[in-house]
Amino acid sequence: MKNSIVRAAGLQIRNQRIRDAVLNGVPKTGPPTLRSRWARSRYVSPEGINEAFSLAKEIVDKEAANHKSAAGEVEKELKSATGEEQRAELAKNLEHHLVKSEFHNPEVRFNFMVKDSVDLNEPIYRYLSRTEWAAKEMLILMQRLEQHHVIPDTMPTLDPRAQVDVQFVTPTMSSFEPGSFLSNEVCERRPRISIQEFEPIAKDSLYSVVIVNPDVPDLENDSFKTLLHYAAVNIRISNDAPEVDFAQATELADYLPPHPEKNAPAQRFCVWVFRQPARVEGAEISREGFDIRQFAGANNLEAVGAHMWRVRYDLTTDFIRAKYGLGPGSVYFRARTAKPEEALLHVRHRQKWEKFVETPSK
Amino acid sequence: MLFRQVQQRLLKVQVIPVRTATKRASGGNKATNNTAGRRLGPKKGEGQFVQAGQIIWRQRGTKWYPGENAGVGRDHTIYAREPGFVRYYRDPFHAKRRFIGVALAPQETLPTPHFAPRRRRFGYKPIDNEDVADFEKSYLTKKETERLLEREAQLEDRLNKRATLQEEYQKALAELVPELSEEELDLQAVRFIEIRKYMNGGMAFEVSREIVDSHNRADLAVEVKTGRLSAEEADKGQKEIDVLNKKVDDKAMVAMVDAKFVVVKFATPEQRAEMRSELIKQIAELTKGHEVTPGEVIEKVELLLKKSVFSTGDRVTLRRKHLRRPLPIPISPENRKEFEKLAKKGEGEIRKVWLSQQQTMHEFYIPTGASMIFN
Amino acid sequence: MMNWKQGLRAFQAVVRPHISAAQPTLVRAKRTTKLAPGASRVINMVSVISARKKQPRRLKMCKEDQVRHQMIMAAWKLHLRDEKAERTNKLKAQYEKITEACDELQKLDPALYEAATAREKGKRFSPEMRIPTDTPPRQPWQFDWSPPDK
Repeated sequence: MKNSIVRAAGLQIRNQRIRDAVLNGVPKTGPPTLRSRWARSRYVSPEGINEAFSLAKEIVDKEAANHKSAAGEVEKELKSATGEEQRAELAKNLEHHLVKSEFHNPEVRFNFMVKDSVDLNEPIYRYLSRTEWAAKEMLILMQRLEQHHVIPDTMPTLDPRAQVDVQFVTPTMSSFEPGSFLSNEVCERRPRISIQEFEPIAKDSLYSVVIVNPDVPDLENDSFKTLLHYAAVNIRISNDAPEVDFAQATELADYLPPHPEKNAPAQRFCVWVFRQPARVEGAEISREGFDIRQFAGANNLEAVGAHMWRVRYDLTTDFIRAKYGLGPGSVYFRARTAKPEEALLHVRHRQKWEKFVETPSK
Repeated sequence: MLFRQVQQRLLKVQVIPVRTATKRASGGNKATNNTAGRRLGPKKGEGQFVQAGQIIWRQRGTKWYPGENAGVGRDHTIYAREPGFVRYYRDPFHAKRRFIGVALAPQETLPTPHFAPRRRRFGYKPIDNEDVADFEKSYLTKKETERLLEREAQLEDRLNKRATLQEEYQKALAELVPELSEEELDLQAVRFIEIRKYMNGGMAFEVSREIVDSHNRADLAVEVKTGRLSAEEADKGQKEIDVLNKKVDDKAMVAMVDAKFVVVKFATPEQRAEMRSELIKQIAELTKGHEVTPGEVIEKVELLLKKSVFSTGDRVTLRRKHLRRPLPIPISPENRKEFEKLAKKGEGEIRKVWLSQQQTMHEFYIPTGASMIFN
Repeated sequence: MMNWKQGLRAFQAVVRPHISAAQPTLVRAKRTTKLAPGASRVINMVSVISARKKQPRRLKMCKEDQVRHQMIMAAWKLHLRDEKAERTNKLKAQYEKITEACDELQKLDPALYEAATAREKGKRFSPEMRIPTDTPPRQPWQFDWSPPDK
């Protein structure tokens, strides 16, 4: 029962020797993935693995063939279906069968293990990538967003569906965990952003990226206001092309480097990624007092991913401020006490959140 | 007589003092019901104004939980974290808990709706006195001070290194692009050092060059934006820089030679690939037909391997592929004497080796420089 | 209270007297190793703490074999799933057949049906069945036992 099911050529292992070893057992010369000759010569496969594998392959291939035929039927149904809801349901079902038909394919598992020729257009690779992301990075992201109150200070909440990776252009080009403290020097220039979608999306789907800082001192109200540091819309993203190409996008506000002030609390820089239903044209924004909820609502944007970093005043801040002409910045001292009259200032500030207060029904 | 002796002894024994328990080890305490009241309960009422740190409620255990802008102390005392107005309330998210919070404004109600942005007090004021502000600004934490001192200690060394690198690059550039003036050479050396920085992080030359040039362009745009440079001036300057860069980029590039980044003659990636395959062909030609590669051929090959088109990994694989080192020879009773002689001369050594596949020990004659392949 | 080692010895003395005859049973502080008691205690403590003892030894496999192993485990799971489904289906079919037969019987002969489906009150799996014991009674099963009338 060899090769009872036809596998897609794109899912094969590229290296023929490794492919043979995976499908037909480790050769006498040792496993090709082991680098040193010494390790190869010493390697012994677990006893009986080859016999078990050929038996297992029959079972797995049968399972895969079942799902493949099921996927074919769903696809036919999908072609004739008309209702929006029904189509969505069928598409989900189709994706499920396509994933299951390659779920135990050892070649796919190997490719994913070594992260080689992982084509995110394939449902199975999307599924595996999503699972890996959801097991760790997604949890960290959500924990940080909640712990640092990015939700609900900027957007009300997030249903994370896309992996957002932010990298500042430094010689090492390393990503950082959400919520990390970065030096002001490091985040001087616009970061590179990648938006990895795990759901099947059309080629060149439209996305928006907004970077806001909700921690700018508002001395008048003795509170904080939001400053927009970057906004771009109409970014084109595909499943297999996650890198944001800023040159192709419409920039609403160019990148303003973080410039915190001495002794003020740390500032959060919240990167929000939105899915756009259509092109956004002529959106008007102002940097000062930027309302991200209003912006998302007005342009029908759906938040799918986020990221964040934090900055404090450090040794490099003054240099950045001087270079970008941002003024010297204030130096603050902690004012723990206040007079009752000062609290009245919040009355003006109150208008901002008044709409969220539910009026009790009588 | 005997009786008396015994009696005396017994008496002696009796004289040894024995300590018995005089303190009651356990038992009831009679004074349980007579402690003074602990003065627990509310210290501030609903709507009352409090300063940060003021106590609102004293309690045993958490009869009340700290709400917004309130904290809980070591003995569960609820206190204000910000100045404001005391609120006693319930939160639908914790249906079984009662909260005490501090509203920042007299009209504010608590809790804040779950999905609404938090209401926050800044709680800082700018220092108006310039001298005080400057002093405060110059204050560094212990960690920052240490880092600064460390950097200063390294500064001289780093500057020296950079100066030598600059000199080196300037010299190489002058050779490759002779028409450059002294000032232009200086500028380009700085640019190449910057490119080197990104290559050191593992990026390709073309990518690093693009990053450096785009950063320079962005910096010029910032100069215009801040008004330090007029748009025309910047445009003119950018054009000049572009021309100069083009002149240099056709002739020079940074590449790694001997684990060091140096300025070499420019070649496009395709040209480099071509050169590489050409050199590999040469190496194959040189080493062809030898059972064991002779020393002079090895030297020639090593010279070719030094070329910058090869990466460190390339060098290792090419050496492994093309240079035939002598192989270890298994020792038998017939040839033992011969090899023992050679070993004595210092041309090699005899060593016992564990053969993993055969699962035995075996003696080998290993000539100097031999590759250690036994199976 | 006996510790487990003493308990084991006592058990062996009963079950395998030829082995335990050579070893003295229930001897206190008899040294079984050459190590000093302090040293052996330390080794014991450390070995209990070590993480290696708490998990099975890891299989060291190359990437190819890891993938093959994964697939084998997956196939085994699928096999178990299929087996279970098959058994469930069989039982279900059997049950349906029984119901069908009973329905048929009810139509043909209600009296017979009544007799066939009458509940046998109290005839359950014996709740009085004894727990295995070292000193079982001479008559382990009371064949003529019937539940007491209430």
